[in-house]
Amino acid sequence: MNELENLKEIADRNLGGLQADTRLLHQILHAKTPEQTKKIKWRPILVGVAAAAMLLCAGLIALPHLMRYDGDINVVSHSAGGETNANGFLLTAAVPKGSVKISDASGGTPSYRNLFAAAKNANFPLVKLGNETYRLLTAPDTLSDSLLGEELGTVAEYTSEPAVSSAGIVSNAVEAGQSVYAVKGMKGAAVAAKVNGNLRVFQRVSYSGVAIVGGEGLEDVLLGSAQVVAMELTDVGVINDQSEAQELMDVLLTNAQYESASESANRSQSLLIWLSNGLTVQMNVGSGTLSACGTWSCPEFFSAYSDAVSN
Amino acid sequence: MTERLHTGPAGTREASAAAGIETLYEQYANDVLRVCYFYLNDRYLAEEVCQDVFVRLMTSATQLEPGHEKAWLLKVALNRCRDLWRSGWVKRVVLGSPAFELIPAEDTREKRDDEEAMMAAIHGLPTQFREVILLFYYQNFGISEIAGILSLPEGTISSRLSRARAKLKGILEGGDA
Repeated sequence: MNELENLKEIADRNLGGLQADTRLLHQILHAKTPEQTKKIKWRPILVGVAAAAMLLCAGLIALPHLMRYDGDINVVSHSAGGETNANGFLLTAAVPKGSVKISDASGGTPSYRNLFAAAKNANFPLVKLGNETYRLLTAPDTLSDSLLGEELGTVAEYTSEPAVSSAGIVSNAVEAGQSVYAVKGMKGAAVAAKVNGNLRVFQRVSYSGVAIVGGEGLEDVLLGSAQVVAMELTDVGVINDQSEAQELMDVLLTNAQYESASESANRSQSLLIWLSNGLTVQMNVGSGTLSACGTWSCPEFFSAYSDAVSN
Repeated sequence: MTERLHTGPAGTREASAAAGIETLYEQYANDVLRVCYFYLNDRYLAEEVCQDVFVRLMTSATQLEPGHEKAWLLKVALNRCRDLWRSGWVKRVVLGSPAFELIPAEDTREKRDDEEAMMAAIHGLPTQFREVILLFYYQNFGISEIAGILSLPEGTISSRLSRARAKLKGILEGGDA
């Protein structure tokens, strides 16, 4: 590590063959505009062709196996009242289209895990407080008392069509008259209410064309003031180091650009975010975007995440 | 390092600007090129970024503050490197990163494995750590100057430097850090 102090000398010695020569200067001086300096980039083209060929080969190999499979693919998940079968597994119908991937389990990357409770009758289980909508999470089974915050009100109407209800607090999962509570430290990001007798957590999501409200940002609707301790991104890896996870979250919160209130249909990964209060929240990932309460683009986050996993 | 090019009639504004660019090129292009290569591990892309940086300097109305020319050039270069690095993340994840390749000068005969390992380890750091190591140890900028280049608070730079050193130590001693 003492050599770090001599990095200038070491790097100049080991990169000394790399010279900014007259050829490069000539190119600069004769480039009237940056656009005119652009060359045909054969390397990206070749990489694209090679990647397409690899995908084609992989598809040809995997296709016969996929065609043979005629049963439901089971995904291990946390138990949730009502939407799981007797074995505690979610069926493929409970996870987004394209999210189940056939891969080597020993590959070291996590398979898709979905914490959002499955939809029923076109609507996912939710609690709607005015313009703010919260979706039932499959975990935890019961919210600990230490996280139970103030009462926000009671469910005014239990309806299978919450989008068209104008009552104050409506739900298709929590019975009318039941209380809805804040979750300590997660104001705007989660609420809690009793489902089948158990106090369950609902995460803020977009619904019926509404996502963030007023001046809210991603942090407001995803974390509140909770701290991140770990993350898991499907097919990429797990970040267990708390400081690294927090740094990644900083990258996300700093760079995420709000795109829309609707979620991309082409979601195939999930980002699970473990919080220091014991809760876990989720964003669906697909087409380079992340969705929960609104869809956000953040290439910086994906880049930093892959860097962090590879190191 | 390089000979001057004759770019037009003496006395014209263009010729004057070109001469200014040539001077800056002679002074800093090697640093810009090598930092870009260190960041990207791709000679073609590093030359492309270096070219873009100087072309941008030439075609924009930027007035460089005397004494801060190198910082400006590296700031623009790092921004461009970051964009390229981000855009290639899928390729790196799917196809894997190539090993870091040294390009020693012809008169450098002795190859030192420990130096190669350290440079490869620096290149392998997450970008936020790689940037501060390159600017602090390779280009000898101070904390406040790096904060200006990266548009981040000085405390963040200090913290990243500290964590980058710890990570490097872990990597070079055989752990994952």
